[in-house]
Amino acid sequence: MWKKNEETSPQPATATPERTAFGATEPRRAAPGPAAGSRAVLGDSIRVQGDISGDEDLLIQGEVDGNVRLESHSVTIGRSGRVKADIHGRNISVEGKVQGNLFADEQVVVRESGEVRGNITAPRVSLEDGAKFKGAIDMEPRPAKAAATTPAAAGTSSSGASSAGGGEAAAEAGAKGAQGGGSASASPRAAAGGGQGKG
Amino acid sequence: MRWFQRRRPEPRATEAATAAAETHRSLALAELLGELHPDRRLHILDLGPAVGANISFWSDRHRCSVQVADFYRSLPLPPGADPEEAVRDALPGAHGSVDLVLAWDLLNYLDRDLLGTLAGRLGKLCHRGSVLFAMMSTVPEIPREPGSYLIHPDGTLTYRVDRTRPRPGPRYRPADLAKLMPGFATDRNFLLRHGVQEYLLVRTEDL
Repeated sequence: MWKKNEETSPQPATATPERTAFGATEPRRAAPGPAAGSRAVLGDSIRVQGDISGDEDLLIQGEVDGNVRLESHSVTIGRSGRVKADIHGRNISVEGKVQGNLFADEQVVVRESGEVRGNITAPRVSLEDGAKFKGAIDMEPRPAKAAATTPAAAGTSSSGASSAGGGEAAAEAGAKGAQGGGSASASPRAAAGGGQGKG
Repeated sequence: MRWFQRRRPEPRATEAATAAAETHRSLALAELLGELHPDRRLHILDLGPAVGANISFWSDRHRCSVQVADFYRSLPLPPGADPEEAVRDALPGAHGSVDLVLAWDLLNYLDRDLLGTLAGRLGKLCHRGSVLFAMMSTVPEIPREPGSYLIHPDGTLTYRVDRTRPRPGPRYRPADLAKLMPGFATDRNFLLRHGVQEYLLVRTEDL
C-alpha cells in the first residue's frame, strides 16, 4: 500500500513531496542529485509478481518477484523489503533481502541489515558491517545505459508502469488490490502472473 | 603468465590484541600485496564472509573484481547431495577464471574429504600461477567458527573471532596440504607467533 515512509535511512534535508496511501503528498527528505523528486513507496503488505519500471525513486517495503528497472533513479529495498530478481537503478540501497543481480550507474550500498545473493555491478559498492553478501562484485564502470536498450527493457517500458504517471498508477493499483484482496498488476507480466496483496 | 614472484621476506610480525578484535601483521598478505601487478586486473575469490572494507580495498585500490563465496555458510552440504556438485554450486565460475583465492582460516574447519573436494573445485577455477592464501592453525584448539578478517591498507589484518568456545583443530601440516590439495604447491609459509601459519599456495598445473 502507498504509505508514508517510516523506515528509511537518514538522507539530506531537501523537502519534496511524497505520495501517501491515498494520493496525498507529504514533505519528505529527498535523495540528492538532479533526479531528486517524489518517491514511490511499495508498502510492506504489497506483493508484486512482475516487472517494475518508472521514472521516479522507489522504496520497496513489500515483496517483488520481478525485475526492477529505474535506471535514472534511486531504488531502496527497505528492511521488510524482499526482491527476487534483478534491480537496475542509479543508486541502490539494500536494507532488506535481494536474490538477484544489482546494476547501478552510481552506487550500491548494502546496509547492516541487508542481505544480497547475486552479483553487483556498480562504480562504487559499499557493504556495511553486518551486511550479508554472496556473489561477485564488479566495480568497473559499465557503458552508459546499455541495459536500457535491451529488448527486455523496451518491452517493459511499454507497459503501464513505464512512465512516471504509469508507475504511480500501477503501484496504486497494487495498493487497491491489496485492500480489496484482488490482484495487483504492475506490468503486463504481473497481470498475467496474478500479483496479490497479502496484507 | 605468472603474476607474482618471489621476494625477500618481510620483517617479523608484531601483534596487538584488543578485547573485541585482534590485529596482526600478515606476512603472507604483505608479500602478496607487494607483488600485485599494477596493470593487471585480478579476479579474486574470497571464500570468507563479505567484509565491506576488503571489497573496497581490492576494488578501489587494486581494481580487482571480487567474488564473495562465504563458503562456510554453505555448510553443511545438503543431505544426500553429491559433494562435488554441491561445492560447484556453492562456488560458481568459469574454469581458470580465478587469479587469487582468499581462503583465510576456512581450511581449518573442513574435514579431509571436504577439503579434498574443495581443493578439486578450486583447482578447476584457478589457472597455472593462481595463488591461494590460507591461514592454518598450529595449536590444538581453534575458535568455534571461522573468523572474518579485515585488511588494512598497510597489510595488517584485524581478526574478528570468537575465542570463547574453542573446538579442536585439525592442525593440518604442509604434508597434509600437499596430499589433500593436489595441483597446489606451497610457495611460501610463515609461522606467526600466535600460532597461525600463513600459506601462499600456487597452482602449479595447467587445467
